[in-house]
Amino acid sequence: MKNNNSITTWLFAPFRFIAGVKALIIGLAVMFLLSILGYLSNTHFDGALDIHYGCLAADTLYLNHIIYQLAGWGLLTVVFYLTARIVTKSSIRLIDIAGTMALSQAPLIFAALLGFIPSFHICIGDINTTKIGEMMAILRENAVMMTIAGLTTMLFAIWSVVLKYNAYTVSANIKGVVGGISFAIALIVAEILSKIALYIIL
Amino acid sequence: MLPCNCPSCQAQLKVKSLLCENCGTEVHGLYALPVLARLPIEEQDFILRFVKNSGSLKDMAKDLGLSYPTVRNLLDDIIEKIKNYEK
Repeated sequence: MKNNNSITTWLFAPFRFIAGVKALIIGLAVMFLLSILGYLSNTHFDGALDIHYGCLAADTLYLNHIIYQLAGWGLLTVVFYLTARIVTKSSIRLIDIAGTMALSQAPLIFAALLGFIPSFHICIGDINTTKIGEMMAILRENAVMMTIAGLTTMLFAIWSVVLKYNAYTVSANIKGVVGGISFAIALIVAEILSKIALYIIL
Repeated sequence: MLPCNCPSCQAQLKVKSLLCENCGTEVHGLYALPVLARLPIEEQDFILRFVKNSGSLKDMAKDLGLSYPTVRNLLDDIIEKIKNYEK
């Protein structure tokens, strides 16, 4: 059996080697770290896929960042477990989905670290159509920084989505077109549900 | 290593003759390979390890340095192949 123990495999498909309880323990540690970094850098992971750099003047409770992590991970686990039960013929374990989904949040640590750069946090206040000119001026002034922030953050978000896809396919033994389509649907559903859950809780 | 597929067209090979090394008797015919012998060598090796590990996927995962679901997926794929051979 080929082990294919390369750096690329470890970066994008670590679940070939780690799953179950081990992945869950590391994943929970990652989520705990994300809640602390998110709180300190005012970076909000408020949804299954969300990364937002908040206004530095507006503080949030640490509890909010814990809830972001638990709601996002919890709903990803439930939605992907149910989807896998429908789609695959293989036997699947909830612990594999829960563990690998938790660990797939790891690239977001880099996004949280980027949140310590002050110019990543742009404040335009509440959207007010009577002050549209002022808002546009702020956006124009920060256009370059916003583009850099958007692109770098997107890289880590894409990396995290790739990990989620591999987490799902390894945990549920799903391949091909069915795997791709069911993953996309489950991810969108998890994102919508996490936004609704956070809106109700917070 | 027993060749399972035709080197020219990749079709499944069959056994045409068998030899007794003791007395030199040769048996000719057209026999299908046993199901396990039709699998690629890596999958035959996997099955041997699986048996040696008393059918424990957890022990197999440790033995191969892979995660539990990865090993279970490999086994599922082999089961699927065997079912197709048996059809």
